[in-house]
Amino acid sequence: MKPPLPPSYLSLYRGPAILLVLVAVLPLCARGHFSYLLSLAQLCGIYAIIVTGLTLLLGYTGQVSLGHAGFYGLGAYAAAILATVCHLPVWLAILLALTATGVCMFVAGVSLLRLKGHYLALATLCTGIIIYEVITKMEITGGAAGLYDLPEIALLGQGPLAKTYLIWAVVILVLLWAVHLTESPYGRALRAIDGDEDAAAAMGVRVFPLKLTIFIVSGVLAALAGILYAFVYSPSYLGPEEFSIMHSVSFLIMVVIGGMGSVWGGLAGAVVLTGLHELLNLLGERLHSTDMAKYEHLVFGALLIVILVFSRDGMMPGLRRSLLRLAGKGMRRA
Amino acid sequence: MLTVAHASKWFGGLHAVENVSFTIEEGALAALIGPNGAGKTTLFNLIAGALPLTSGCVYLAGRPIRNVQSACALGIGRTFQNVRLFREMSVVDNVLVGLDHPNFWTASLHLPGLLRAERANLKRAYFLLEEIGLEALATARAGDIPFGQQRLLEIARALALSPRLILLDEPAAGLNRTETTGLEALIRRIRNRGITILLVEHDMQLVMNLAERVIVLDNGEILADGPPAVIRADPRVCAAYLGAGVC
Repeated sequence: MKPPLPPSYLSLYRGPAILLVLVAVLPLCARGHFSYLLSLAQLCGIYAIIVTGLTLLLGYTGQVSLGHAGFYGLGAYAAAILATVCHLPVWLAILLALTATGVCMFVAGVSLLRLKGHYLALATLCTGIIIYEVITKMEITGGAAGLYDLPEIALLGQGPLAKTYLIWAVVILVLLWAVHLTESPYGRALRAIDGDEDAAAAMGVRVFPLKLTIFIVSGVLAALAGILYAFVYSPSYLGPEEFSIMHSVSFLIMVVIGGMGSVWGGLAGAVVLTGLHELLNLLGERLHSTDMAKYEHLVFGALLIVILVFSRDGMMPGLRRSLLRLAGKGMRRA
Repeated sequence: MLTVAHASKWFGGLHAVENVSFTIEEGALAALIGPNGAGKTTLFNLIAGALPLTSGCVYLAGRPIRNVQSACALGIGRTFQNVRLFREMSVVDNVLVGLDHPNFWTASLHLPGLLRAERANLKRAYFLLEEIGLEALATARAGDIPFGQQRLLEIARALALSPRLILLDEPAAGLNRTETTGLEALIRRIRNRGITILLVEHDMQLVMNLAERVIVLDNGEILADGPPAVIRADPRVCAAYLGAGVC
Protein backbone atom coordinates (compact mmCIF):
# COMPACT_ATOMS: atom_id res chain seq x y z
CA MET A 1 0.00 0.00 0.00
CA LYS A 2 1.32 3.42 -0.94
CA PRO A 3 1.68 5.69 2.11
CA PRO A 4 -0.31 8.94 1.98
CA LEU A 5 1.42 12.29 1.79
CA PRO A 6 1.67 14.54 4.85
CA PRO A 7 -0.66 17.58 4.93
CA SER A 8 0.42 20.05 2.24
CA TYR A 9 0.90 23.77 2.83
CA LEU A 10 -2.29 24.32 0.83
CA SER A 11 -4.35 22.25 3.26
CA LEU A 12 -2.65 23.88 6.26
CA TYR A 13 -3.31 27.42 5.07
CA ARG A 14 -6.87 26.91 3.80
CA GLY A 15 -8.42 27.61 7.20
CA PRO A 16 -6.44 30.76 7.99
CA ALA A 17 -7.09 32.01 4.42
CA ILE A 18 -10.87 31.57 4.83
CA LEU A 19 -10.66 33.36 8.17
CA LEU A 20 -8.72 36.20 6.56
CA VAL A 21 -11.50 36.66 3.97
CA LEU A 22 -14.20 36.59 6.68
CA VAL A 23 -12.36 39.25 8.69
CA ALA A 24 -11.85 41.35 5.55
CA VAL A 25 -15.59 41.37 4.76
CA LEU A 26 -16.61 42.04 8.38
CA PRO A 27 -17.02 45.83 7.83
CA LEU A 28 -19.73 45.06 5.25
CA CYS A 29 -21.84 43.48 8.01
CA ALA A 30 -20.89 45.91 10.78
CA ARG A 31 -22.71 49.00 9.57
CA GLY A 32 -25.34 51.22 11.12
CA HIS A 33 -27.21 49.37 13.87
CA PHE A 34 -24.69 46.54 13.65
CA SER A 35 -21.56 48.65 14.25
CA TYR A 36 -21.32 47.10 17.72
CA LEU A 37 -20.30 43.88 15.90
CA LEU A 38 -16.80 45.32 15.54
CA SER A 39 -16.40 45.60 19.29
CA LEU A 40 -17.82 42.08 19.64
CA ALA A 41 -15.38 40.80 16.99
CA GLN A 42 -12.49 42.36 18.91
CA LEU A 43 -13.48 40.56 22.10
CA CYS A 44 -14.02 37.31 20.16
CA GLY A 45 -10.49 37.66 18.75
CA ILE A 46 -8.96 38.28 22.18
CA TYR A 47 -10.72 35.24 23.64
CA ALA A 48 -9.80 33.16 20.57
CA ILE A 49 -6.10 33.74 21.35
CA ILE A 50 -6.53 32.53 24.94
CA VAL A 51 -8.64 29.57 23.88
CA THR A 52 -6.10 28.54 21.23
CA GLY A 53 -3.44 28.25 23.93
CA LEU A 54 -5.84 26.42 26.19
CA THR A 55 -6.77 24.03 23.36
CA LEU A 56 -3.12 23.12 22.95
CA LEU A 57 -2.80 22.57 26.68
CA LEU A 58 -6.08 20.76 27.36
CA GLY A 59 -7.20 19.41 24.00
CA TYR A 60 -3.83 18.20 22.77
CA THR A 61 -1.70 17.62 25.86
CA GLY A 62 -4.50 16.68 28.28
CA GLN A 63 -3.48 19.18 31.00
CA VAL A 64 -6.37 21.04 32.62
CA SER A 65 -5.95 24.70 33.55
CA LEU A 66 -8.47 26.74 35.49
CA GLY A 67 -6.10 29.65 35.88
CA HIS A 68 -5.98 31.13 32.40
CA ALA A 69 -7.97 34.25 33.32
CA GLY A 70 -5.19 34.92 35.83
CA PHE A 71 -2.46 34.59 33.17
CA TYR A 72 -4.61 36.82 30.90
CA GLY A 73 -4.67 39.41 33.70
CA LEU A 74 -0.98 38.97 34.40
CA GLY A 75 -0.11 40.02 30.84
CA ALA A 76 -2.55 42.93 30.82
CA TYR A 77 -1.50 44.37 34.18
CA ALA A 78 2.24 43.72 33.75
CA ALA A 79 2.26 45.61 30.43
CA ALA A 80 -0.03 48.36 31.74
CA ILE A 81 2.08 48.95 34.88
CA LEU A 82 5.35 48.91 32.95
CA ALA A 83 3.95 51.42 30.45
CA THR A 84 2.15 53.76 32.87
CA VAL A 85 3.93 53.50 36.23
CA CYS A 86 7.46 52.75 34.98
CA HIS A 87 6.94 54.93 31.87
CA LEU A 88 8.59 52.41 29.55
CA PRO A 89 7.93 52.59 25.80
CA VAL A 90 4.84 50.51 24.96
CA TRP A 91 6.67 47.92 22.84
CA LEU A 92 9.30 47.39 25.51
CA ALA A 93 6.54 47.08 28.13
CA ILE A 94 4.82 44.46 25.97
CA LEU A 95 8.05 42.52 25.47
CA LEU A 96 8.86 42.59 29.17
CA ALA A 97 5.29 41.63 30.13
CA LEU A 98 5.36 38.61 27.81
CA THR A 99 8.80 37.59 29.12
CA ALA A 100 7.69 38.00 32.74
CA THR A 101 4.59 35.88 32.09
CA GLY A 102 6.78 33.25 30.43
CA VAL A 103 9.08 33.16 33.46
CA CYS A 104 6.08 32.95 35.85
CA MET A 105 4.61 30.13 33.76
CA PHE A 106 7.95 28.31 33.84
CA VAL A 107 8.19 28.59 37.63
CA ALA A 108 4.53 27.58 38.09
CA GLY A 109 4.78 24.80 35.51
CA VAL A 110 7.86 23.18 37.05
CA SER A 111 5.94 22.55 40.26
CA LEU A 112 2.31 22.30 39.06
CA LEU A 113 2.79 19.98 36.09
CA ARG A 114 3.93 17.18 38.37
CA LEU A 115 0.25 17.03 39.35
CA LYS A 116 -2.35 15.34 37.19
CA GLY A 117 -6.09 15.57 36.50
CA HIS A 118 -8.18 17.13 39.25
CA TYR A 119 -5.12 18.04 41.30
CA LEU A 120 -3.67 20.06 38.44
CA ALA A 121 -7.06 21.72 37.83
CA LEU A 122 -7.26 22.73 41.51
CA ALA A 123 -3.66 23.96 41.61
CA THR A 124 -4.14 26.13 38.49
CA LEU A 125 -7.46 27.36 39.89
CA CYS A 126 -5.60 28.50 43.02
CA THR A 127 -2.92 30.18 40.87
CA GLY A 128 -5.65 32.09 39.03
CA ILE A 129 -7.24 33.11 42.33
CA ILE A 130 -3.89 34.31 43.71
CA ILE A 131 -3.25 36.45 40.61
CA TYR A 132 -6.79 37.87 40.78
CA GLU A 133 -6.40 38.68 44.47
CA VAL A 134 -3.06 40.39 43.85
CA ILE A 135 -4.64 42.45 41.04
CA THR A 136 -7.61 43.54 43.18
CA LYS A 137 -5.68 44.19 46.39
CA MET A 138 -2.45 45.91 45.33
CA GLU A 139 -2.10 49.65 45.05
CA ILE A 140 0.09 49.57 41.95
CA THR A 141 -2.69 47.80 40.00
CA GLY A 142 -5.25 50.38 41.05
CA GLY A 143 -7.01 47.76 43.18
CA ALA A 144 -10.69 47.22 42.46
CA ALA A 145 -10.84 50.64 40.75
CA GLY A 146 -8.36 49.51 38.07
CA LEU A 147 -6.11 51.59 35.84
CA TYR A 148 -7.16 54.43 33.52
CA ASP A 149 -5.88 56.01 30.32
CA LEU A 150 -3.41 53.42 29.13
CA PRO A 151 -1.42 54.07 25.96
CA GLU A 152 -3.27 52.86 22.88
CA ILE A 153 -1.65 50.77 20.16
CA ALA A 154 -2.85 52.11 16.83
CA LEU A 155 -0.63 50.10 14.52
CA LEU A 156 -3.25 49.94 11.75
CA GLY A 157 -4.80 53.33 12.52
CA GLN A 158 -7.46 54.70 14.85
CA GLY A 159 -11.06 53.60 15.12
CA PRO A 160 -12.91 50.35 15.79
CA LEU A 161 -12.27 48.82 12.35
CA ALA A 162 -8.49 49.31 12.61
CA LYS A 163 -8.57 47.81 16.11
CA THR A 164 -10.54 44.83 14.83
CA TYR A 165 -8.10 44.25 11.99
CA LEU A 166 -5.13 44.50 14.35
CA ILE A 167 -6.57 41.99 16.83
CA TRP A 168 -7.61 39.55 14.11
CA ALA A 169 -4.23 39.85 12.38
CA VAL A 170 -2.73 38.59 15.64
CA VAL A 171 -5.42 35.87 15.87
CA ILE A 172 -4.66 34.63 12.35
CA LEU A 173 -0.92 34.56 13.05
CA VAL A 174 -1.52 32.65 16.28
CA LEU A 175 -3.81 30.17 14.52
CA LEU A 176 -1.33 29.73 11.69
CA TRP A 177 1.39 28.93 14.21
CA ALA A 178 -0.96 26.59 16.12
CA VAL A 179 -1.82 24.75 12.89
CA HIS A 180 1.90 24.41 12.10
CA LEU A 181 2.52 22.96 15.53
CA THR A 182 -0.45 20.60 15.71
CA GLU A 183 -0.06 19.27 12.16
CA SER A 184 3.54 18.27 12.81
CA PRO A 185 5.17 15.37 14.68
CA TYR A 186 5.30 17.76 17.65
CA GLY A 187 1.48 17.89 17.73
CA ARG A 188 1.41 14.11 17.45
CA ALA A 189 3.72 13.84 20.46
CA LEU A 190 1.38 16.14 22.41
CA ARG A 191 -1.59 13.90 21.56
CA ALA A 192 0.44 10.88 22.62
CA ILE A 193 1.01 12.53 26.01
CA ASP A 194 -2.74 13.07 26.27
CA GLY A 195 -3.30 9.42 25.37
CA ASP A 196 -0.83 7.79 27.78
CA GLU A 197 2.13 9.60 29.33
CA ASP A 198 4.07 6.43 30.22
CA ALA A 199 3.62 4.92 26.77
CA ALA A 200 4.63 8.23 25.18
CA ALA A 201 7.78 8.32 27.32
CA ALA A 202 8.55 4.75 26.28
CA MET A 203 8.37 5.95 22.66
CA GLY A 204 11.03 8.57 23.28
CA VAL A 205 8.67 11.52 23.80
CA ARG A 206 10.17 13.92 26.36
CA VAL A 207 6.93 14.19 28.30
CA PHE A 208 7.71 16.78 30.97
CA PRO A 209 9.62 19.27 28.76
CA LEU A 210 6.80 19.14 26.21
CA LYS A 211 4.11 19.66 28.84
CA LEU A 212 6.09 22.54 30.32
CA THR A 213 6.65 24.16 26.91
CA ILE A 214 2.94 24.06 26.07
CA PHE A 215 2.03 25.32 29.55
CA ILE A 216 4.39 28.29 29.10
CA VAL A 217 3.20 28.98 25.54
CA SER A 218 -0.48 28.84 26.50
CA GLY A 219 0.20 31.27 29.38
CA VAL A 220 2.13 33.63 27.11
CA LEU A 221 -0.75 33.53 24.59
CA ALA A 222 -3.17 34.43 27.40
CA ALA A 223 -0.83 37.30 28.36
CA LEU A 224 -0.72 38.44 24.72
CA ALA A 225 -4.53 38.49 24.73
CA GLY A 226 -4.40 40.51 27.96
CA ILE A 227 -2.07 43.03 26.34
CA LEU A 228 -4.42 43.39 23.36
CA TYR A 229 -7.29 43.86 25.81
CA ALA A 230 -5.42 46.58 27.72
CA PHE A 231 -3.80 48.49 24.86
CA VAL A 232 -6.23 47.94 21.97
CA TYR A 233 -9.70 46.88 23.12
CA SER A 234 -10.09 48.96 26.27
CA PRO A 235 -7.19 51.40 26.76
CA SER A 236 -9.39 53.88 28.61
CA TYR A 237 -9.96 51.50 31.54
CA LEU A 238 -8.42 48.25 32.77
CA GLY A 239 -10.38 46.69 35.64
CA PRO A 240 -9.91 43.38 37.47
CA GLU A 241 -13.40 41.98 36.75
CA GLU A 242 -12.27 40.78 33.30
CA PHE A 243 -9.78 38.40 34.97
CA SER A 244 -12.01 36.71 37.52
CA ILE A 245 -12.12 32.98 38.03
CA MET A 246 -15.47 32.74 36.19
CA HIS A 247 -13.65 33.83 33.05
CA SER A 248 -11.27 30.89 33.46
CA VAL A 249 -14.32 28.62 33.57
CA SER A 250 -15.75 30.34 30.48
CA PHE A 251 -12.48 29.79 28.57
CA LEU A 252 -12.56 26.13 29.50
CA ILE A 253 -16.20 25.86 28.38
CA MET A 254 -15.23 27.53 25.07
CA VAL A 255 -12.58 24.84 24.49
CA VAL A 256 -14.93 21.97 25.35
CA ILE A 257 -17.92 23.35 23.42
CA GLY A 258 -15.86 24.12 20.32
CA GLY A 259 -14.07 20.78 20.32
CA MET A 260 -10.85 19.94 22.09
CA GLY A 261 -9.21 18.09 19.23
CA SER A 262 -8.61 21.04 16.91
CA VAL A 263 -7.54 24.66 17.12
CA TRP A 264 -10.55 25.57 14.94
CA GLY A 265 -12.85 24.13 17.58
CA GLY A 266 -11.37 26.51 20.14
CA LEU A 267 -11.95 29.45 17.80
CA ALA A 268 -15.57 28.36 17.21
CA GLY A 269 -16.12 28.01 20.95
CA ALA A 270 -14.74 31.50 21.59
CA VAL A 271 -16.91 33.06 18.88
CA VAL A 272 -20.11 31.21 19.89
CA LEU A 273 -19.82 31.89 23.61
CA THR A 274 -18.79 35.53 23.22
CA GLY A 275 -21.65 35.97 20.76
CA LEU A 276 -24.03 34.33 23.18
CA HIS A 277 -22.88 36.65 25.95
CA GLU A 278 -23.60 39.63 23.71
CA LEU A 279 -26.97 38.19 22.72
CA LEU A 280 -27.96 37.86 26.37
CA ASN A 281 -26.92 41.47 26.98
CA LEU A 282 -29.04 42.63 24.04
CA LEU A 283 -31.95 40.56 25.27
CA GLY A 284 -31.57 42.17 28.69
CA GLU A 285 -31.67 45.62 27.09
CA ARG A 286 -34.79 44.76 25.12
CA LEU A 287 -36.53 43.36 28.19
CA HIS A 288 -35.27 46.26 30.32
CA SER A 289 -33.78 43.69 32.64
CA THR A 290 -30.42 44.00 34.34
CA ASP A 291 -30.56 40.38 35.45
CA MET A 292 -29.70 38.73 32.15
CA ALA A 293 -25.94 38.69 32.82
CA LYS A 294 -26.64 36.63 35.93
CA TYR A 295 -28.01 33.86 33.74
CA GLU A 296 -24.99 33.79 31.45
CA HIS A 297 -23.25 30.87 33.11
CA LEU A 298 -26.55 29.05 33.42
CA VAL A 299 -26.98 29.31 29.65
CA PHE A 300 -23.33 28.36 29.04
CA GLY A 301 -23.73 25.34 31.33
CA ALA A 302 -26.94 24.22 29.59
CA LEU A 303 -25.27 24.63 26.18
CA LEU A 304 -22.30 22.60 27.37
CA ILE A 305 -24.59 19.76 28.50
CA VAL A 306 -26.52 19.78 25.20
CA ILE A 307 -23.31 19.71 23.14
CA LEU A 308 -21.73 16.99 25.25
CA VAL A 309 -24.88 14.86 24.96
CA PHE A 310 -25.10 15.19 21.18
CA SER A 311 -21.40 15.45 20.31
CA ARG A 312 -19.07 14.41 23.10
CA ASP A 313 -15.99 15.76 21.35
CA GLY A 314 -17.46 19.23 20.81
CA MET A 315 -19.27 21.34 18.27
CA MET A 316 -16.80 21.35 15.36
CA PRO A 317 -16.20 17.58 15.19
CA GLY A 318 -19.99 17.04 15.55
CA LEU A 319 -20.68 19.53 12.77
CA ARG A 320 -18.07 17.84 10.57
CA ARG A 321 -19.66 14.43 11.14
CA SER A 322 -23.14 15.80 10.36
CA LEU A 323 -21.88 17.40 7.14
CA LEU A 324 -20.14 14.19 6.09
CA ARG A 325 -23.32 12.21 6.86
CA LEU A 326 -25.40 14.67 4.79
CA ALA A 327 -22.88 14.53 1.96
CA GLY A 328 -23.01 10.73 2.10
CA LYS A 329 -26.83 10.75 1.91
CA GLY A 330 -26.69 13.19 -1.01
CA MET A 331 -24.23 10.93 -2.83
CA ARG A 332 -26.45 7.87 -2.28
CA ARG A 333 -29.52 9.73 -3.59
CA ALA A 334 -27.57 10.87 -6.66
CA MET B 1 24.46 -6.61 25.32
CA LEU B 2 22.06 -6.29 28.30
CA THR B 3 23.62 -6.54 31.74
CA VAL B 4 21.53 -6.47 34.88
CA ALA B 5 23.92 -6.13 37.83
CA HIS B 6 22.63 -6.71 41.37
CA ALA B 7 19.37 -4.96 40.58
CA SER B 8 17.00 -4.47 43.50
CA LYS B 9 13.69 -2.65 43.73
CA TRP B 10 11.87 -2.15 46.99
CA PHE B 11 8.43 -0.61 47.38
CA GLY B 12 8.55 0.31 51.05
CA GLY B 13 8.91 -2.99 52.86
CA LEU B 14 8.11 -5.08 49.76
CA HIS B 15 11.22 -6.39 47.98
CA ALA B 16 9.79 -6.71 44.45
CA VAL B 17 13.19 -7.45 42.88
CA GLU B 18 16.12 -8.56 45.02
CA ASN B 19 19.74 -8.64 43.87
CA VAL B 20 19.02 -9.89 40.34
CA SER B 21 21.98 -10.27 37.99
CA PHE B 22 22.15 -11.69 34.47
CA THR B 23 23.54 -10.89 31.03
CA ILE B 24 21.86 -11.37 27.66
CA GLU B 25 23.98 -11.64 24.54
CA GLU B 26 23.30 -9.57 21.44
CA GLY B 27 20.70 -11.14 19.13
CA ALA B 28 19.51 -13.62 21.78
CA LEU B 29 15.90 -14.46 22.52
CA ALA B 30 15.46 -14.91 26.24
CA ALA B 31 12.32 -15.36 28.32
CA LEU B 32 11.56 -14.26 31.83
CA ILE B 33 9.02 -16.46 33.54
CA GLY B 34 7.64 -16.92 37.01
CA PRO B 35 4.42 -16.94 39.00
CA ASN B 36 2.26 -13.81 39.35
CA GLY B 37 3.93 -11.32 41.68
CA ALA B 38 7.40 -12.76 41.04
CA GLY B 39 8.68 -9.33 39.95
CA LYS B 40 8.85 -9.88 36.18
CA THR B 41 7.09 -6.67 35.15
CA THR B 42 8.96 -4.69 37.82
CA LEU B 43 12.23 -5.99 36.39
CA PHE B 44 11.01 -5.03 32.90
CA ASN B 45 10.25 -1.52 34.13
CA LEU B 46 13.73 -1.30 35.67
CA ILE B 47 15.35 -2.35 32.39
CA ALA B 48 13.17 0.10 30.44
CA GLY B 49 14.10 2.92 32.83
CA ALA B 50 10.46 3.41 33.84
CA LEU B 51 11.27 2.77 37.51
CA PRO B 52 14.37 3.90 39.41
CA LEU B 53 16.49 1.13 40.92
CA THR B 54 16.80 0.89 44.70
CA SER B 55 20.29 -0.51 44.18
CA GLY B 56 22.33 -2.07 41.40
CA CYS B 57 22.57 -1.05 37.79
CA VAL B 58 21.31 -1.95 34.32
CA TYR B 59 23.57 -1.52 31.28
CA LEU B 60 22.88 -1.77 27.58
CA ALA B 61 26.03 -2.22 25.49
CA GLY B 62 28.07 -1.09 28.48
CA ARG B 63 26.13 2.14 29.03
CA PRO B 64 23.97 2.62 32.12
CA ILE B 65 20.20 3.07 31.81
CA ARG B 66 19.17 5.94 34.09
CA ASN B 67 15.62 6.70 32.96
CA VAL B 68 13.14 6.17 30.13
CA GLN B 69 14.87 8.75 27.92
CA SER B 70 18.26 7.08 28.21
CA ALA B 71 16.65 3.66 27.63
CA CYS B 72 15.04 4.94 24.40
CA ALA B 73 18.23 6.66 23.30
CA LEU B 74 20.21 3.46 23.84
CA GLY B 75 17.69 1.50 21.77
CA ILE B 76 15.22 -0.20 24.07
CA GLY B 77 11.69 -0.63 22.75
CA ARG B 78 8.92 -2.16 24.83
CA THR B 79 5.33 -3.31 24.97
CA PHE B 80 3.13 -3.31 28.06
CA GLN B 81 1.42 -6.06 30.04
CA ASN B 82 -1.94 -4.33 29.49
CA VAL B 83 -2.07 -2.84 26.00
CA ARG B 84 -1.30 0.86 26.24
CA LEU B 85 -1.89 2.33 22.83
CA PHE B 86 -2.75 5.95 22.07
CA ARG B 87 -6.35 4.86 21.61
CA GLU B 88 -7.74 8.09 20.13
CA MET B 89 -5.00 8.27 17.51
CA SER B 90 -4.92 6.35 14.24
CA VAL B 91 -2.96 3.12 13.87
CA VAL B 92 -0.31 4.79 11.70
CA ASP B 93 -0.01 7.76 14.08
CA ASN B 94 0.73 5.32 16.92
CA VAL B 95 3.72 4.08 14.94
CA LEU B 96 4.74 7.57 13.84
CA VAL B 97 5.05 8.76 17.47
CA GLY B 98 8.24 6.75 17.83
CA LEU B 99 9.75 7.84 14.53
CA ASP B 100 10.37 11.54 14.88
CA HIS B 101 10.63 14.06 17.70
CA PRO B 102 11.19 17.53 16.24
CA ASN B 103 11.83 20.44 18.54
CA PHE B 104 9.35 23.22 19.18
CA TRP B 105 10.89 25.73 16.77
CA THR B 106 11.20 23.28 13.87
CA ALA B 107 7.52 22.38 14.30
CA SER B 108 6.49 26.04 14.68
CA LEU B 109 8.20 27.08 11.46
CA HIS B 110 7.02 24.00 9.55
CA LEU B 111 9.70 24.40 6.91
CA PRO B 112 9.82 22.11 3.83
CA GLY B 113 12.47 19.95 5.54
CA LEU B 114 9.84 18.91 8.09
CA LEU B 115 7.48 17.78 5.31
CA ARG B 116 10.28 15.79 3.67
CA ALA B 117 11.09 14.10 6.98
CA GLU B 118 7.39 13.41 7.56
CA ARG B 119 7.10 11.81 4.10
CA ALA B 120 10.02 9.50 4.95
CA ASN B 121 8.47 8.71 8.34
CA LEU B 122 5.13 7.82 6.75
CA LYS B 123 6.91 5.50 4.36
CA ARG B 124 8.71 3.78 7.23
CA ALA B 125 5.53 3.57 9.33
CA TYR B 126 3.63 1.92 6.48
CA PHE B 127 6.52 -0.46 5.95
CA LEU B 128 6.37 -1.50 9.63
CA LEU B 129 2.59 -1.88 9.47
CA GLU B 130 2.89 -3.98 6.33
CA GLU B 131 5.48 -6.16 8.03
CA ILE B 132 3.09 -6.77 10.88
CA GLY B 133 -0.01 -7.13 8.68
CA LEU B 134 -1.83 -4.01 9.78
CA GLU B 135 -1.41 -1.73 6.76
CA ALA B 136 -5.09 -2.09 5.82
CA LEU B 137 -6.04 -0.64 9.20
CA ALA B 138 -3.55 2.25 9.03
CA THR B 139 -6.15 5.01 9.25
CA ALA B 140 -8.44 3.26 11.75
CA ARG B 141 -8.67 4.54 15.33
CA ALA B 142 -6.28 2.42 17.38
CA GLY B 143 -8.85 1.86 20.13
CA ASP B 144 -11.31 0.42 17.59
CA ILE B 145 -9.20 -2.40 16.15
CA PRO B 146 -9.50 -5.96 17.56
CA PHE B 147 -7.51 -6.79 20.67
CA GLY B 148 -5.11 -9.18 18.93
CA GLN B 149 -4.23 -6.50 16.42
CA GLN B 150 -3.76 -3.96 19.20
CA ARG B 151 -1.08 -6.28 20.62
CA LEU B 152 0.60 -6.39 17.21
CA LEU B 153 0.37 -2.62 16.89
CA GLU B 154 2.20 -2.24 20.20
CA ILE B 155 5.03 -4.34 18.76
CA ALA B 156 5.06 -2.27 15.54
CA ARG B 157 5.19 0.87 17.69
CA ALA B 158 8.17 -0.48 19.62
CA LEU B 159 9.90 -1.41 16.35
CA ALA B 160 9.53 2.18 15.17
CA LEU B 161 12.29 3.10 17.61
CA SER B 162 14.68 0.85 15.65
CA PRO B 163 15.51 -0.90 18.92
CA ARG B 164 18.54 -3.04 19.69
CA LEU B 165 16.61 -4.70 22.51
CA ILE B 166 12.87 -5.20 22.59
CA LEU B 167 11.01 -6.04 25.80
CA LEU B 168 7.76 -7.91 25.18
CA ASP B 169 5.55 -8.03 28.28
CA GLU B 170 3.06 -10.90 27.92
CA PRO B 171 2.45 -10.34 24.19
CA ALA B 172 0.28 -13.47 23.91
CA ALA B 173 -2.06 -12.56 26.79
CA GLY B 174 -5.64 -12.55 25.53
CA LEU B 175 -4.76 -13.96 22.10
CA ASN B 176 -6.33 -17.10 20.64
CA ARG B 177 -4.25 -20.01 19.34
CA THR B 178 -4.18 -18.76 15.71
CA GLU B 179 -3.15 -15.28 16.81
CA THR B 180 -0.46 -16.75 19.09
CA THR B 181 0.94 -18.77 16.16
CA GLY B 182 1.11 -15.55 14.11
CA LEU B 183 2.77 -13.80 17.02
CA GLU B 184 5.35 -16.57 17.30
CA ALA B 185 6.24 -16.17 13.64
CA LEU B 186 6.48 -12.40 14.06
CA ILE B 187 8.81 -12.69 17.07
CA ARG B 188 11.03 -15.05 15.05
CA ARG B 189 11.15 -12.51 12.20
CA ILE B 190 12.12 -9.73 14.62
CA ARG B 191 14.84 -11.91 16.09
CA ASN B 192 16.11 -12.75 12.58
CA ARG B 193 16.68 -9.03 12.05
CA GLY B 194 19.29 -9.20 14.82
CA ILE B 195 17.17 -7.54 17.48
CA THR B 196 17.68 -8.92 20.99
CA ILE B 197 14.40 -9.98 22.60
CA LEU B 198 13.47 -10.35 26.24
CA LEU B 199 10.06 -11.88 26.66
CA VAL B 200 7.80 -12.14 29.71
CA GLU B 201 5.11 -14.74 29.05
CA HIS B 202 2.81 -17.17 30.80
CA ASP B 203 2.13 -19.21 27.66
CA MET B 204 4.72 -21.93 28.27
CA GLN B 205 4.27 -23.51 24.85
CA LEU B 206 5.24 -20.20 23.24
CA VAL B 207 8.16 -19.70 25.64
CA MET B 208 9.52 -23.22 25.14
CA ASN B 209 9.15 -22.95 21.34
CA LEU B 210 10.84 -19.57 21.06
CA ALA B 211 13.33 -18.93 23.82
CA GLU B 212 16.86 -20.26 23.79
CA ARG B 213 17.28 -19.23 27.38
CA VAL B 214 14.77 -18.99 30.22
CA ILE B 215 15.25 -17.03 33.43
CA VAL B 216 12.87 -17.97 36.23
CA LEU B 217 12.00 -15.38 38.85
CA ASP B 218 10.32 -16.21 42.14
CA ASN B 219 9.72 -13.74 44.96
CA GLY B 220 11.91 -11.19 43.20
CA GLU B 221 14.94 -13.47 42.99
CA ILE B 222 16.35 -15.66 40.22
CA LEU B 223 15.31 -19.24 40.86
CA ALA B 224 16.82 -20.78 37.74
CA ASP B 225 18.52 -19.71 34.51
CA GLY B 226 19.25 -21.93 31.50
CA PRO B 227 17.99 -23.48 28.25
CA PRO B 228 14.26 -24.45 28.12
CA ALA B 229 14.98 -28.21 28.42
CA VAL B 230 17.00 -27.67 31.60
CA ILE B 231 14.38 -25.34 33.08
CA ARG B 232 11.58 -27.81 32.34
CA ALA B 233 13.51 -30.50 34.16
CA ASP B 234 14.33 -28.35 37.20
CA PRO B 235 12.28 -29.63 40.16
CA ARG B 236 12.41 -26.21 41.91
CA VAL B 237 10.86 -24.52 38.85
CA CYS B 238 8.25 -27.27 38.58
CA ALA B 239 7.31 -26.83 42.21
CA ALA B 240 7.26 -23.03 42.16
CA TYR B 241 5.67 -22.38 38.78
CA LEU B 242 5.42 -24.87 35.93
CA GLY B 243 3.56 -27.68 37.70
CA ALA B 244 3.16 -31.28 36.65
CA GLY B 245 1.47 -30.44 33.32
CA VAL B 246 4.67 -29.00 31.80
CA CYS B 247 7.37 -30.88 33.75
